[in-house]
Amino acid sequence: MGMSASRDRSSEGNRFLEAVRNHALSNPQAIAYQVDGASDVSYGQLWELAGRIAQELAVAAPGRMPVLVYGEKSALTVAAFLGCLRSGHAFVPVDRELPAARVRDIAAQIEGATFLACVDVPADLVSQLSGCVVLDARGAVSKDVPAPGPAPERWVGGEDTNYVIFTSGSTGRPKGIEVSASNVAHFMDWMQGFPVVSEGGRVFLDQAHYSFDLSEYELVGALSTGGCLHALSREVSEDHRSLLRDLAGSGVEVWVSTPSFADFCLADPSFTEELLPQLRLFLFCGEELRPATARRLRERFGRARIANSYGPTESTVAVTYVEIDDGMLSAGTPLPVGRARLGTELRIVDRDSGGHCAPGVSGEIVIVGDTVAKGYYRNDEKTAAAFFEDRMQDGAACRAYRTGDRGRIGADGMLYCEGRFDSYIKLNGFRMELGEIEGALEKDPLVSRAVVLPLERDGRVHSLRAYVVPERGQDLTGMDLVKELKLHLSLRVPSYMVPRSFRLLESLPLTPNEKVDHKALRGL
Amino acid sequence: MSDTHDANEVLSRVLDLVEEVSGEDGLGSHLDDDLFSLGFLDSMAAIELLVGLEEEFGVSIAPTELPREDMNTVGKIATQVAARM
Repeated sequence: MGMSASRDRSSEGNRFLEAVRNHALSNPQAIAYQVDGASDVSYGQLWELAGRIAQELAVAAPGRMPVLVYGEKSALTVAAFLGCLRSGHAFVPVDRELPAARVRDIAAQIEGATFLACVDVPADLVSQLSGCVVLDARGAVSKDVPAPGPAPERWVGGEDTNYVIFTSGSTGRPKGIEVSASNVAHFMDWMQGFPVVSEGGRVFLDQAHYSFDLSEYELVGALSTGGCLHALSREVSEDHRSLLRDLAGSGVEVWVSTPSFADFCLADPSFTEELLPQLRLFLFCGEELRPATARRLRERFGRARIANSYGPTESTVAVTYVEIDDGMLSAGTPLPVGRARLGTELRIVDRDSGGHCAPGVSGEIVIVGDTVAKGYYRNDEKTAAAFFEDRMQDGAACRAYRTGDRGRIGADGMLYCEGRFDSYIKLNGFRMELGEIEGALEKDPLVSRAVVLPLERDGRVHSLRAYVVPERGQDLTGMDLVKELKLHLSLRVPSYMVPRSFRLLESLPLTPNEKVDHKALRGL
Repeated sequence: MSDTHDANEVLSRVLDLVEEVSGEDGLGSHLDDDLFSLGFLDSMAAIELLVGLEEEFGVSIAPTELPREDMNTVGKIATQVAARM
């Protein structure tokens, strides 16, 4: 893809994998992974598991195509990611919570996909995977063979694709974002300079699903510095009682999450520094950090730094960083997301003229730098629409990405985010296209038309509402129909995309020029 | 707080609040149905509800105080609120 062909893979290698291997060799007993209900896994064990999986993949999945890793919060799933990389395959993280139809839509985009299962595969999913080679990671690691794993020459490296993360697409088909090993290495270099992280060997909260690139924050941050991932299973992170019980013994020092998850924890008065006395850095990304959230954290965790950051998956996790201080909190204005990392330049561009905006003027955020991804997987059209080749200020050729985010550079030189130019929204940190939900609803034979709108309170999206015109001549009405619609939708899209509330309508209100009248809908 | 009139009033105000948080009208005929399994509340909405209960009744219930099965229907929520008033 473009500049990638001219680079030599072997010359750059995979510095992330090398870092993990070095920790496994120099300190094999150190704990790499802990999760409720399973034994702790050391660096030595993790590297061994990854080697066995890589060995199996080298035989069963020749070539270098991406491999779907179907898993959950477990050391085996992380070992599977590493095993893919060590056998020359990009990994595609697919969380077991995703409905079968969604997994099928992802698998269908990868020719002759290999599907590596780290957990049991439900029967309704197995039947959807007819085009895939299905392998069991648990079988691979239980084989009684020595597993040095493939030689580093086979590893994913340089401009090779490191992972493909699928996110909601406006056309109703998830789109894959292709991030290279060199992107990850550049991101890693930057993150290793963060306070607390730079000390090495710290304990990181691992909460975001591996299907989201927010989780790369802690995967790269912890595993490249000899740190420990303290993972929260879905069950634990959704129930306050088990969550706070789990955190109490965790020793977490670096907290990585969306601000929404911190709000969820803050709802309980026992979420304080007495619960997490070692906690020294909160690292936020994925959505707006509101002053109210930062202020409450400051009150309860006086010793911890609170850092905000920003970046789309298309530029590898995050590209800005700032520590929130009391001055910012007392300003009564939205918080900045920070300054660009070394290796990234931010441009604010006028969408109409294409020219650069003056400081302080809002426009589209364009990211230029060495963490900008390769593009959208097997989608040249979408890639060309958002990615382009550009030059850094020093003249070096570099890749650039038009984010679709609105923002400005403040007088303090920091980036401030101000929302989106299109219909994509963030709900509790989850990125989604409303059009995808509408499309999925309209595939339901019970539905004639559907519109989905975000509901906001205090300038923040707190839930979704679907306005549905049911198909005529059916038995179900009212709440029974809503229940059925929610059930059907949950089989097509992830649960966080199922609107909390529904309104059933005879017809959709239209504006004078025959478009759906969103304003009138909101008034219903 | 055992007075029937008051208990009914608490129930009706809790119902209003749950309808507001869930965005769903007509929960009045589902007072004893599990709001989570019906999809009207999720873990984030449950937090919004607790904040609402504090504002409406001055009753503070920490999320860790009760297991979900004690707070999963309009009727049970009203009982917990009434017991703290």
